[in-house]
Amino acid sequence: MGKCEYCGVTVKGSESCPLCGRPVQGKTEKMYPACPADQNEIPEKRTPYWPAVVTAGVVGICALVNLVTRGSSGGYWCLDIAVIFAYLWVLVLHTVKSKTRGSFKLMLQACLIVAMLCVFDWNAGRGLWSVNFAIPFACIGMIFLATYIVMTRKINWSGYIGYMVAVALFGQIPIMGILLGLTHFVWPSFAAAGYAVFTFLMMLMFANGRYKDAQTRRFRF
Amino acid sequence: MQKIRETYPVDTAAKLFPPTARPTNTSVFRLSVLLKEAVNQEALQKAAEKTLERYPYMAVTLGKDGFETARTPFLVREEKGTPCAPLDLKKGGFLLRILWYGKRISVEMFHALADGAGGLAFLKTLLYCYLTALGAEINPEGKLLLPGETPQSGEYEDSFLKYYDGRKAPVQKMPPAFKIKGEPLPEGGRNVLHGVIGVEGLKKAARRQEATITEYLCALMVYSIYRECVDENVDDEPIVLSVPVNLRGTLPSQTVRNFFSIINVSVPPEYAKTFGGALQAIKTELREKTRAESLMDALAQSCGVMEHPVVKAVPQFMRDAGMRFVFAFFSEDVKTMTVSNVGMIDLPADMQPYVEHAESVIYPTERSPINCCLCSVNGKLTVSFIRTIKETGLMRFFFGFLTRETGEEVTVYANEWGTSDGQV
Repeated sequence: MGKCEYCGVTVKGSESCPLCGRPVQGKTEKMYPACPADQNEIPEKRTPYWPAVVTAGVVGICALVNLVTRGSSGGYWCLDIAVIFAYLWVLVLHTVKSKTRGSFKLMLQACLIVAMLCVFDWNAGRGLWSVNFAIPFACIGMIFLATYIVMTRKINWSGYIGYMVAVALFGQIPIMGILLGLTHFVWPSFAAAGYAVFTFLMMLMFANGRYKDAQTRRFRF
Repeated sequence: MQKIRETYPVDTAAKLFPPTARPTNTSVFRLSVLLKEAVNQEALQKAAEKTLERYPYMAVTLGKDGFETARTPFLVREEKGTPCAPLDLKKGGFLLRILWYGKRISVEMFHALADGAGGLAFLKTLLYCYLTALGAEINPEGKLLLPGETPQSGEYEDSFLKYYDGRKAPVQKMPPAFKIKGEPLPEGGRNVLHGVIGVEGLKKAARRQEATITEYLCALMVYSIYRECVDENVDDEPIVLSVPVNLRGTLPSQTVRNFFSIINVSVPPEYAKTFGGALQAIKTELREKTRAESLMDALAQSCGVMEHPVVKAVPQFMRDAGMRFVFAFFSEDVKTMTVSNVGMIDLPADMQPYVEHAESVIYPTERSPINCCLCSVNGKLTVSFIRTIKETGLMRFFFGFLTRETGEEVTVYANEWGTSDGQV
């Protein structure tokens, strides 16, 4: 048996201290076998075969029916079905099941919702209601959600910065419509951008005193 | 000739385990003894067969009608993986394993089958059969269930239902507890780390603080969590230890199945800042919650829900979904760590010279990545940590404090899961 001077304990069955990892003198017989991972007894991870088959089937049938019946002036409504399924897949596999940070999930959700609204709008006759109204108000909703999460949940400073980046991004999306010349009713887009700037500044200045202290220390203000 | 029953009902406490078991929450606990000589596999195989004859209600698989008597022969195995590996409940195998490695005999059990006290009774009989198979003369002194005896119906009764007096105790949701976080170890295994310490020094240290060993170690655990895991600037939740309590100490049950209650001991951060503060909070709460009246309320809470006519009328798959929600919301969300004290393993005097020390290990869960289990035999107490995260600061602080305060030497050893590169 060896002695770990650093931890003050006697170590058995290993050349290094299991508490600190430092080498110790005097190895004894092994206490445990080498550790392979759980083998045949581990239940296999279920691959979502059936949902994938259902998705492919529904989208495929819709596409077939759409293409056969659309005629010369018909739209591609099967795309609406396809984006809804795509959204559901991302919602379940990423937003619900993934362990990535919340701000990233929120940003991905925003991008998907924007894409979905654009497809719906394009299929419904290109009235541009998505860029004029729906996307700005969706962004305002996302900013509100980010604010709510930051105010109610325990997050560290890196998570906090993630939400600030998300809020800034949500403010930019409607402005892109104006810059590209797609948006005719600009006040909802400016409202979303203004709300994002306001929220960003509030988050920076008032929302979390501890965060402010951390920033001051970190950036040597 | 003894009549072999075909099925045994799943008892009240055990109903929670099958729906919630998964690779990250295996619901498999382990009890081991380390002998002074290397284990003889043939003798262990004979001992296992003899022991399972004595405990026919343990030689079962999980079927549609509850526990069904297993038809396949039972085989002991050399230990190869990491402790508390999941059992595949769908394949119809046994709900326990008997493993050996070097000088260690281990029994791993699915928690639906029995609790720590039941598992201990099984292990003691197994050890008795093993030693007698090797030719040892042992006077059992009435301390274990002997092979050849006829199993009594009280051994596999549902003591929850037997001792439930019909009282109503409202179930209250505790606030969310502080959760230990860390860099996860690779999936498919668990790291165990044991520390062996003399009971005498520990007893003296606990007595100096006018506390029991359980109170002393629980307080040290809370203090260690605060010192090593809590970020004072961010974390303001209470540190909550989930402590299983053996109800056989309060009620005269003979059951070998589950008969325990979980009590949650909550310590606010301001108390956890010092060891004295943590000990005071633990002592007050532990003593209050282990009163007979409080334990009867806890029993009523378990039975009141499970025996409610509406719950019983709900289809099985919906009940299972409900169980998973209850487990996540009322168990996982409100605790920081499980600290289970299996207690002193009371072996007959003739068996004691063969045993070096014992180990007990309880499975970790997703939101409780470090759990701790204690047991003692022959004046040596083993504190066993199981973890699925890399960080070892908590254990280092815990054993360092014990060494300083008790003056006893702590011997530590671990398996190599997640640390084969020498980095911990």
